[in-house]
Formats: sequence, structure tokens, C-alpha cells
Amino acid sequence: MKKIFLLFILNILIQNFTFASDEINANEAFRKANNAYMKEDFKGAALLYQDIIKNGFVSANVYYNLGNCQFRLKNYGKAILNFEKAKRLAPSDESINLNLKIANLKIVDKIKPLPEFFLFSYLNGIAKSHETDTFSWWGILFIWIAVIFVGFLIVSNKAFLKKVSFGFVLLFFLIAASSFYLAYQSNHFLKETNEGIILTPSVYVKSSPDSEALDAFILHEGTKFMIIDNLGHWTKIKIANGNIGWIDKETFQEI
Amino acid sequence: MRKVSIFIILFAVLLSGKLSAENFRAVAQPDVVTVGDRFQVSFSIDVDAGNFKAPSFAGFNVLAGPSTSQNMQWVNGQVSRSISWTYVLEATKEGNFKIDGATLTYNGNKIQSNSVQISVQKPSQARLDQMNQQKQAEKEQNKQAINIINDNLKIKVNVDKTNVYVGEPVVATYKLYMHPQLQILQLSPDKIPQLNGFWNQEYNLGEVKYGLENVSGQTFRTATIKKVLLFPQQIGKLKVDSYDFKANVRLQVQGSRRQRRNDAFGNFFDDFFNDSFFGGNYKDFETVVKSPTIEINVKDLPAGAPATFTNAVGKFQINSWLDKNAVRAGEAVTYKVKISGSGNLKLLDAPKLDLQGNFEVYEPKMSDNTQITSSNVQGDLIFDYIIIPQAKGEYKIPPMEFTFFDLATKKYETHSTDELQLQVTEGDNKSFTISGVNKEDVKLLNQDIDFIMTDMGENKNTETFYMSGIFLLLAVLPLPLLILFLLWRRKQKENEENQSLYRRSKARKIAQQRLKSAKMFLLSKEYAKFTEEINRAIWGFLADKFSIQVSKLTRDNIDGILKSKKASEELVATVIELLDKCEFARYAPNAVDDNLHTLYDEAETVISDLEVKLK
Repeated sequence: MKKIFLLFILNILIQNFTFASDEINANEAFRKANNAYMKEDFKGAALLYQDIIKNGFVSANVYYNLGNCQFRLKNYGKAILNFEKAKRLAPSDESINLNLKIANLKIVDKIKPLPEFFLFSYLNGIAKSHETDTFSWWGILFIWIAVIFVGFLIVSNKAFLKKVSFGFVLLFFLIAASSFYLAYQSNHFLKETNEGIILTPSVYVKSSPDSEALDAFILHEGTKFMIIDNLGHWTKIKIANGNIGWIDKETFQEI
Repeated sequence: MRKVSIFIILFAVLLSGKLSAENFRAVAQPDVVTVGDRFQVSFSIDVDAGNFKAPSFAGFNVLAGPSTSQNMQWVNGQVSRSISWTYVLEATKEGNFKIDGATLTYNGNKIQSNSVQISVQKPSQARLDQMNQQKQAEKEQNKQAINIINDNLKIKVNVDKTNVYVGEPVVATYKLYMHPQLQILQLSPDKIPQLNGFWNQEYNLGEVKYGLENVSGQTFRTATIKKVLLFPQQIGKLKVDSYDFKANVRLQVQGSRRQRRNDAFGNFFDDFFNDSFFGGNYKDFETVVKSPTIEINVKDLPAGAPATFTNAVGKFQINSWLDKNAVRAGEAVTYKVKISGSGNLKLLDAPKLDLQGNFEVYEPKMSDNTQITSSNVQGDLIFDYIIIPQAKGEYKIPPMEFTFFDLATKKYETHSTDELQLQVTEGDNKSFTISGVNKEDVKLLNQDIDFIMTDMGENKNTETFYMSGIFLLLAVLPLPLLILFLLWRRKQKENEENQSLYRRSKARKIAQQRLKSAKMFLLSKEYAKFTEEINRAIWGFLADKFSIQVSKLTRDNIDGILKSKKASEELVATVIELLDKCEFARYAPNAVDDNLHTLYDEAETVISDLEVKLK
């Protein structure tokens, strides 16, 4: 019995230790990568950043730094891919947004997005501006405030107080509901919406999933699109101006 | 003195002019003629003068002239010379005519000859008859001559087909036929065919070559004078215009004896050439020789032309190539399309190049390497498209389709070029064109990216708070809490209600107890205590009955409370009366014993009444 208990403790310790050492390794690699970047060894730095991500450490900053390396290497498609990944993790970071904008100027395709209903685009804008957890906390906070006001509403026996409390209950419930909606949207963008970035210099987008099919249009490296459907090694995509077509899975990478 | 000398000189000049004018003479010989007669008018001068200008011979036909003659004479060692200009005129109508003097320039002065008078008289009948006869003969002669010329000088037009499709070439050959012995002085085109409705290409014949050809037993000298390829452009009956020639032909005219025989000139034509008896005169005739016009029926092409058909008719081939297969972005590459074959090549437009992607495509340049052969237009057209790729990548130049109507099979045929690959590598950054960039972005163009971040940031490779257990718990928790709170509140209320029910049920008992103790006080004559007790009994009963605190009940609000409990007016009045009496008794302690007894009884009845009526 004692032995088992000891083993259990030991196991926990080892686990903790390995976890800690992973963290240290990642930090070490990150420092090395930054040094390489500063010495303008962008290729080396990019490999190190990629290793960090491969080993399970995922952060906006690592993606951002990797994006910078690819930008310096003039791989604008990959730079945009990594900046987009960083942006998903830290939507309101100014450096990420700036570098993404600059990288987008370097690419060939300038696609004019379709106009969207202003309320949706506004809400989506807000949803993309903060992290999911921020919205989640807001939602929790406001639902509690709303519940407290429900308490007031029940307890108070004066008409005026009841009216005021009812107003607050409505208001805070509304705020809480929007916060949850935003959290949902934000999470949707982060995890469920599949977007991709073209990584080959040019791709002929086909009108159907068949290499013999007609070319619908052409896309160049760095262009972002939405993934609608998958079929074998073909992917159905939709670009910002609403055009739809099929491309080979080899030609892009998901964000 | 000086003035005088100038005057003398001027006078001398004038005098000499006058003298010269007298020497410049005009003479008509004869000066009396009949209509149709010929006469001479000559102007002569003794000195060497120039710049002769004849007057107008209005009313006369100038048959010849001016013929100039110069004479020089030596008489007694003196040289005299004269120049004369002579005209032969014909009188055309009767009357008196004046021919003005001619002018000359002599020593810088203009001098004029005298004018002459001509009298033209009516001719005699015999003369008129003779003239008419002569005219008639001349007409006859002309007619005959033109007949002869037309028989022996012909232009024929020959087309290789008369029923064609739009765009199918027709070869029209204009050929000249003439009798070998016909003496043609001049042959010049008078009207060149316009060939409306056709697009035509003239075949270069080079030097005109003459040959001999036998046409139904008759030998002719022939020459092909024009060969045109006609590509009909309209549907319907199109006319191939005639080719008109003006011919000057010299024919031998019979003597007067022959002329009488003319009425029966069976072999007149032979006489013209083989007249050995009569030397005769030669005469020139002028006539216009026309080729016949020919109609060509032009049919429309059969229906069902593919969309790529652009009116090419014939037999063609298309191929395309790039001058280089790999190019840097921003550099030009030439895409060449060659259409070769035979047919209406020159009417073809440049095929449309439909390129996808970021390319700058310029208008194609065409080089024409076609030749006109005797039956069609052959060769090739090369279209050069200059393409400037703007971005690196692997591009496809799509096949170009070309449809033509094959005249041999009478079917539409579509040929297409091969798909070509174009490899575009990274170009010079400076030539990179930026389009569709908004104002805000322009500011960013020259900005560099932000530096890398030096801290790693949080590891986001963990569960998010959103939809985690705690999140769900915290989000859902308010609902059960609220329900619990509501349940607690309800329980609380229930308790309170139970209490008031209890009080209500016990209300009479308590009141009776109090009344009992009041009676005790009444019997022991403690009136103050009695009234207090009776007050307490009534108020306490009311309070218990209505679950209200005693302190909150007053004489003023009891009325409303009772009414709200649906007590009758009567009852309310008795209750209030009782309460008033109790109050009165309280402040009048020395009241009569009996009164207090009745108060007690009243209190008892009111309480029992209330108990009964306010169930």
C-alpha cells in the first residue's frame, strides 16, 4: 500500500518535472530562435519556431515571429498564414495586425470583399477583436449581475424599486447574452471556421473537383479563402468576393 | 531739254509700234464662202516677233493649224523676212463673221493685226445634197467599221464558278481577243470594274503576254489583261462588272468605186484587209469595247456554325508557340499564333486571347505572309501577342480555337492550338505593380514590419475557459440559485401565512378570555382596568382576525379594512360605534355600572358577529 502511494507521488513528480523541462526547452529554443532572427538567419529562426510549435507550445507570439521570418524570406504566403494564426490567438494585437496588413500588400490578388449586412459585420468585427475567454468572462459577470437584480426584483415590495430592478435585469441579461454570442462567434472563428492560405505561386481554381474541369479563375500565393467542402484531395473554396471553386489540397494550408 | 528728249523717245516708240502693227497682217482666202467650205486665214509679219496669240474663231470649225512658215528674201542686198501662221477653217453656218486680229509681242510691245471679214453664204442645193450624202456615207462607214471592230476585238470575262458560298473565292479572268490583222493604234482601259460586294485581290499577271487562240475556226490574238480573285461578302446575286476599253483602230477605207458596192458587202471585212485592187485610204476609228457582265449567285453558309466561327472560309491550320517558356515577372513574352492555309485569310481578325491571371496583354501585331495564287489566297498570318506577366507562378496559356468552313467537305471544322505552359519567376521588385490598393494601404507601402516579440506569451495549446466545466458551472449556476431563493421565499411566506391563520383561529378564544377578565374587573369595580381590557379584547380580535399588528390599527383605518373584508355597512357601523363607546368609557371612568354592562354585552355580540360574518 505504501509502495503504491510512493510510486504515485513519484509519478506526479516526474510528470511535473518533465512538464517543467518542456517549458524550459521551449524557452531556450525561443531565445535561440530570436537570436538567429537578430543575426538575420531567418531560415534557421523559422525552423526553430516551427519546432517550438511542433513540440506543443502554441502562442500568438511564436506564430507572429515565425511569420516575420517568412516575410523576411519573401515567402509571403507562409508569412500571411502564420500572421493569421497569430491573429486568431490574439485578435487585438497591434503588431500582428500591422504585419498582416503589410504582408497582404505584397501579394498579387487584391480581392474586393462582398458587402455584408452592417450589423453582422459589426458584431463579427467585435467578435474578432478579443479573445474568446474575455467574452466568456464578460458573459459570466453580467449573468450574475442580472441574477442579483432578479433577487432585488423578488424582494423589493415597492413598485418603483421593482420597476428599476426589472429594467436592470433586462439590460444585464441582454449584455450577458450578447457576450455569450460573441464568445461563441469568436470560438467559431478560432476553431470551427476553416480558412486557408494559398501557398503555391499560382493556382487554377477549377469549376468542379476534376483536373480536367474548366478553370474558373486563378489565385496567387497569399490569398485567403474559406473552406466550404472537402472531397478526396479536392477542397471547395470561397473567396472574399463570393467566387466558388475547387482546388487541390496540396496548394494551400489551413489557418 | 531733258523733258524734250524723253518726249521724242516716247514718240519714236509709239511710232515704231504703229508701224509694226501695220506690218502684222491678217488675210482670209477666200473671204466669201458657202457653208461647209474650207478657207484659210493667215497672219503674217515681216519682223521677228514671238508669243503669237490667235483670236477666237467663233462660228467656224478649226480643221488645221496653226502651221507656221518663215521666209527670208534677199532683194538688192536687203534681207527681208516674214513669219506667217495659217489656219484652215470650215464655215458651219451662214452669215457675216468678223475674225479679230491676232496679237504678238514685238520689242516688248503687244501688237495686233487687223481683223478680217468673212461672208458665209447659203450653199447650193446640189452642194447640200452632196454633203448630206457624204455624211451619210461617213456614218455608214463608221457603223460598219465599229461592227468590224466589235467583231474582231472582244473582251471576255470568265469566272471559274457562278454558284458559291459567302467567302468562297471566284476567279474572274478578263481576256482580250483581237484579229491578228487588226491594226490597233491604242488600247487603254476606260472603266476598271468596281466589283461591288466582293473583296477582291488582283492577281499580278506581270507583262501582258500575247498568244494565239482559235475561236470557232477563227484565229485570234489573245491576252489575259486582268485576273481577280473575288471573295463574295454578301448573299444574293452579285454582278461582276464589265471592263471597258477605249480602242483606236486604223482601218483601210475603200475607194469611191468600192463604196458603191457597199450595199452588198457580204465579205466586207475581208475586203478591209485584203483589198489588193484598191489602195484606198486609211482611216482611224475610236470605239469603246465592253466585256459582258456576269452574275454570281452567292449562298449563305449552312446553319450550325460554332460560336468560334469568325467567317473563315477555306482550309486552314492553326498553331501557337511562345518565344520563351520561362520569363521573369514584369518581362515581356511573345505569344505567336499562326494561321496558315488558303482561303479568305486576309479578312481574318486576330483571334481573341483569353488569359486568366495577372497579365498585361497588348493588341496583337499581325504579319501577313500571304500570296495571291491563280486560284486562291495562300500563305499564313502570324499574330504576335505581347504578354507581360505580373506575378510569379506556373501559368497555362489556354488553347485557342479556330473554326472555319471547309469548302471541300462543306462542313465547319474547328482546330485548336496546344495548351502552353509559361513559367514566371520572381521579377524585379520595382516593376511590381500594385493595383487595388486603398489610400490607407499606400501609407503602409514603405513601412517595414514590426520587430519580433521577445516574450513567448501564454501557451494557448490548453483548454479555453469558454465551454470549460467552470465556465458552464458559472453560467448555469444562477438558475438553480434563483430557484432555491424563490423556494426559500415561498416557504417563508407560507410560514407567515400559517401564523396568521393560527391567530385568526384563536382570535375569538383570546378575545373571550379578555372579556372574561374584563368582566372580573367589572365585578370588582375596577373600571379603568375593565375598559382597558375590553379595548384590548376588541382591537386584539380585529388584529388577529386580519393578520395585522395591533399598533397598525386605528379608528380611522378600521373602516377601510373592514370594508375590504366585505363586512356590511351595518356591521361596520356597530363596530365603530362600539369602538367609540370603548374609547369614551376609557376617558369617563366614573360611568354608570349599567352602561359598562351593556358595553360588555355589546362587545361580546360584536365579536361573535364578526366571527360569524367574516369567515
